[in-house]
Amino acid sequence: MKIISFHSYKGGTGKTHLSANLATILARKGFKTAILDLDFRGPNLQTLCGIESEVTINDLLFDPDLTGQDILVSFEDQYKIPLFAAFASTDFRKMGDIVRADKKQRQRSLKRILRLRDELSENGFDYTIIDTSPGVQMESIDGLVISDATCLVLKADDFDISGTKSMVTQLYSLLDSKNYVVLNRVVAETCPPEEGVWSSADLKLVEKFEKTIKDEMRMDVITSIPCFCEVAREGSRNIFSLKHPEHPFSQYIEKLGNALLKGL
Amino acid sequence: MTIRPNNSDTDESFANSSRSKPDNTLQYMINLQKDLKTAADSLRLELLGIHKEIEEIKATVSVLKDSIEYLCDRKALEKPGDDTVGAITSGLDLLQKAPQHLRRTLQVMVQLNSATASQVARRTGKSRSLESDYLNQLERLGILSRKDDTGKHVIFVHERTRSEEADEENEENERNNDEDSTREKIQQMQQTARDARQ
Repeated sequence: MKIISFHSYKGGTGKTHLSANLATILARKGFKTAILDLDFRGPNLQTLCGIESEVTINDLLFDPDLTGQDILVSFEDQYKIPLFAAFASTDFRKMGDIVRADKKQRQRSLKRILRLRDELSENGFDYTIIDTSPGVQMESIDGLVISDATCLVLKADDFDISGTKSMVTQLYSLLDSKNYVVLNRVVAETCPPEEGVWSSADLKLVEKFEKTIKDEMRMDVITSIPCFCEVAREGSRNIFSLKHPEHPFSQYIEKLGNALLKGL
Repeated sequence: MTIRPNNSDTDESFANSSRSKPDNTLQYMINLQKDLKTAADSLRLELLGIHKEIEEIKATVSVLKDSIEYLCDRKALEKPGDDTVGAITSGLDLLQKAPQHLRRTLQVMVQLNSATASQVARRTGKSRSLESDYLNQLERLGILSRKDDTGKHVIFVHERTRSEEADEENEENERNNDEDSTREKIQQMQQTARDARQ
């Protein structure tokens, strides 16, 4: 089993959206895929999937009797693809428990995340996609530690280059995973790009921006996803590529998936 | 220490008596005897003060000695390895404390708490001898230690089961009681020292 995580320096970059869509694309290819919401401080995956899960990863971290089977929700019947998800709790009290976790609880959380990883692997999952909290939250790093590939998501119009660079220098240099930058919601001059294809003028701008990122971060930009109005309109109400598999956005996610799998 | 008569007039009388020495030897001897007696009294008082101070210092040293012995005994009774609890508390520790080639082994140890090289090798799919080497490297880094009786390497990460939760609570209570009794004992010793001073 290979693990791909989505991470960012700041919130609101579209990690959850990209994670869910990539998981969907992989499951549509026939890979048994799980998506884990480790964004305990701003959980959004439940909304995106349109369900309310009673037993969450938060419970798994605190209750030694729970296993992965107890928290995984299957979408096999609903979408006819081998897609599973484990959610972070939206219960304010449980979110507080994560924030207040002491040293011992953090040890236990790490141990249970590692156990969950092994359990998923033993149960024949091909891929696990992890949606993390932004920044250097401890639970995010637990997710990054077990990842084979990490996608640092940057929203092209608004990101803190010095903060992101600092995080990359100090944290990403320690990671064992293959690390890439995903530029999300790139706003082109000609909006929206027809069929998701950049005009030659826009392409030059995007390539220039990608080069700047590469020079600054010393990381490859694996893809630059345009800002699509249709995607923005649907927002976090559903998994876009499930509903619109032929849309250019879904094609971009498919390309991202292919590039990631090739690198693993 | 300065020896001086307790009467300020004495200096003058001593000077006068010195001047009158050729004329009145007896008076001179009487004055000298008075001066010496006064000086001796003063010296005796001062020595008593010093003696009292020494007794106080001895009592304080005794309290400190008892406290140190008591704390040393408590420290000796603690379980070995307690100092290393918390060596790996998060994923960040895994990244920062262990070099890349040891991280998979360390992840297995975090999960198992204690394991032999063979057990780790079964989980990582690497050879037993390689894992043995990795475990020894982690031991040298101070992240693992070796159980004397079984030869297993041990990491001090606690998995809390329901029974352990109860044990932990008991331990916490005992620790609190111990701390209270230590505090009481030290207070008693301090009181003893104060009493000795008085």
